[in-house]
Amino acid sequence: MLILRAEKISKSYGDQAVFEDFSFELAVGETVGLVGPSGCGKSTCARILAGLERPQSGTVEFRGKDITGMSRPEYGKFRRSVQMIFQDPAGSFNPVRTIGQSMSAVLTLTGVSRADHATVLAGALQQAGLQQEILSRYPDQISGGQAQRAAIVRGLLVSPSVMILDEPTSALDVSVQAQILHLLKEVQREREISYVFISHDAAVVSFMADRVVRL
Amino acid sequence: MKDEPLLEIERLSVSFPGADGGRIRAVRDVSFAVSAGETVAIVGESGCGKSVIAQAVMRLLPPGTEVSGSVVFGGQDILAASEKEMEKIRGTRMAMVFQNPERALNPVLRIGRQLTEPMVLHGLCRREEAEEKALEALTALGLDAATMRAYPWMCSGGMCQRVLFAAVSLLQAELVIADEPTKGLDADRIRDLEEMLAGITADGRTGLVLITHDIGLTARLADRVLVMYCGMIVEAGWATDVLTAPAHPYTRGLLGSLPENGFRPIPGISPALLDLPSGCAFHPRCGGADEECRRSVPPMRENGGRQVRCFRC
Amino acid sequence: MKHRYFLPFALIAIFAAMATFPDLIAPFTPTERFSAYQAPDAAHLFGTDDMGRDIFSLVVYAARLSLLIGFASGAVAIVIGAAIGLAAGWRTGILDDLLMGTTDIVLILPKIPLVIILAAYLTPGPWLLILVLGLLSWESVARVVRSKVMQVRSADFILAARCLGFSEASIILREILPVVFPVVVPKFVLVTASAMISEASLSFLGLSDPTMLSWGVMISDAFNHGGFIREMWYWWMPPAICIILGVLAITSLAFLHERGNREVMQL
Repeated sequence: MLILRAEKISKSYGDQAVFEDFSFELAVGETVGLVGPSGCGKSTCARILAGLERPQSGTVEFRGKDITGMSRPEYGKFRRSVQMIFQDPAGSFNPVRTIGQSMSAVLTLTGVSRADHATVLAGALQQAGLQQEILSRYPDQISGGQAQRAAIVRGLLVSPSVMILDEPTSALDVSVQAQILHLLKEVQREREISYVFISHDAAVVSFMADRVVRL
Repeated sequence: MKDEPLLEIERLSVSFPGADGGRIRAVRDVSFAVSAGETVAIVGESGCGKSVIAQAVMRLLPPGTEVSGSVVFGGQDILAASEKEMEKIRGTRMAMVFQNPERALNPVLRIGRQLTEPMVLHGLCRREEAEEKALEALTALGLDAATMRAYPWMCSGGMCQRVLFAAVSLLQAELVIADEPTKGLDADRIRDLEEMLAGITADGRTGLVLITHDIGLTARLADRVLVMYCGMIVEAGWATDVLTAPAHPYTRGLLGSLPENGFRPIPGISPALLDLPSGCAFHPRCGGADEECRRSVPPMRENGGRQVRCFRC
Repeated sequence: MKHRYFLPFALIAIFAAMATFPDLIAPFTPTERFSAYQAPDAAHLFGTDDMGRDIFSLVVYAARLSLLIGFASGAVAIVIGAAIGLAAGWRTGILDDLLMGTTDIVLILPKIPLVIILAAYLTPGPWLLILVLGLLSWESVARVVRSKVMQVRSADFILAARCLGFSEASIILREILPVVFPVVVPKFVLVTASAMISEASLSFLGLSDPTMLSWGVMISDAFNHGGFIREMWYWWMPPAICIILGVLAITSLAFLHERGNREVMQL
């Protein structure tokens, strides 16, 4: 069963074409690696698949439905179902907010009452191997590995079906990279999430992906 | 190789004032030596203190830092040297290669000027001679004469990298410290860089300290390797020995994380330097820790041609 | 509290007290009359003016309007500037061009001559002054806010927020505004200081409503009603010094804030 599908999408900025006629399929529970030379538009493609940018032509379908033809509630659901993890771990958090504040905001958005925030977060952090005190820290006060774990935890709070990982370990040390990859595999096993894994590191891609697509 | 080591570091410790009033002990009890023609790699995760060692050796640490131990370079006590003396040493006898070569060059000066100026200022030769030498150095690294008149922003990252190495070779430093030179680079650039780094020690007279977390690079370039964790050296020895048959549990874990070894993670998280565990800093994550490991910090011990900081090895 | 922060805060506190509770600080009210042109003595610290009003009390009572005009102009400038900057920076495209075009026009307008002309025709009271000064100062705020918003809008954490499903309004309010705020505060403070000086200058030139009680008007009164001739320095110097100290204290606050939100909060 296909969860995400892109059909012949093309993207250009002004008259500068980034990529053309790119098609892509993602089935439930699988990990597809997206590779290509640097600057070829992998991140742009990722944003299009997540619905954060519009392609010049082509369609993106989520669970068989074209995202441009979705009603507001359907589109909202699609947005939440596809989460992104970025290359710069600390950069995915608002620098003037603590990690705890950023996470609580997400919980409020998903309708979890304030009283339950502490318990929900405690459980989520523990599963990712993070300690409670990280909630009171600012993004620049924690290590890259901790920030990336926190980003993954936050993404999981909205119960996504797809996670698009844009070079998630490129900025991390080799030992931390192993931990994050391990965590990602565990998460996938437990929750049956599909991954789009973007990386320039062939070894990492072959470790994580079931199959590889070139842009 | 000369008998007397180029750089001798004995029980170096560095601490900074922490944000909440405590002290961050960034480097503890570090001892090692670098001989002429030798490449010594310092390997470890971000935040383990390896860059701090480089800054301590070059005396580039901010005020408020406490440094103890001894750093002797070519027979001279570096920690006791005056700032004036250090100014003469830095750039002539001791050189540093930074990450981000594009940013290390002055954007408003032409490259030729940036290469010749230090030579002239340090009195190594006159301007005309300096220009000749600069051109030689550039061509030796595959760049053409036009580069002399170019500005850094006209050049690609790879070209800037070569310019920096040209600068280093021109100054004929006895000791070169490369701090995470491969960070953020792709495979091609890393290959070029490796060649240039290997070239530094080719004359048998210059010593190279390579600070990196790239274990592959270390295996290919280093003669000896020091593995650091939380500010201390946990294992030190010949690169071929340590990287093929690691003794310390952390080194074993680090090598296990490598792609070729299956990305096996080390359990737990690196502790923050402000909040180090008691005894051996690695004990919470070590499978074989016992009471002694929890209580006291292990000393460095000789173990078959290498040194290991572990009670159980 | 670090000692270098003490003086500006103390000054601001004193002026704020003068503005809020003038009756508790001043010995007399501005309507009480005594004999005119008195020299300073025990009862009248700064003597009396041409109408026999106690000058010291006048200085205290005048604080309210002088500070109000300053801060209110700052507020007007900030609200308009931030709104425009946010809209232009967030939406870009046509809206951005339109708003920045307008901003450029306002930027080019020579403020002081314009204010003088407006004032000459309207002899504005406090509220009109606030409006005019505020309307002429918003453009620098708009530019600065727009730059910051444009810098931030493509940051990963904004993309993440959109991904997580936060609405556009929610993102602007909860993610962008807190990052823009530290940039706006120093601007607010500087606009306030500038407005205070503009008001004082206009009042001194007699271009504002002469019946309002501000430090600038006091200096103007001193000049026009015999204070200078009689060498009554205690009439015009106290309000002048208050203006200077007020502006200095406010500007120091701007520099303090530059040291970062968190450090200030630690005070």
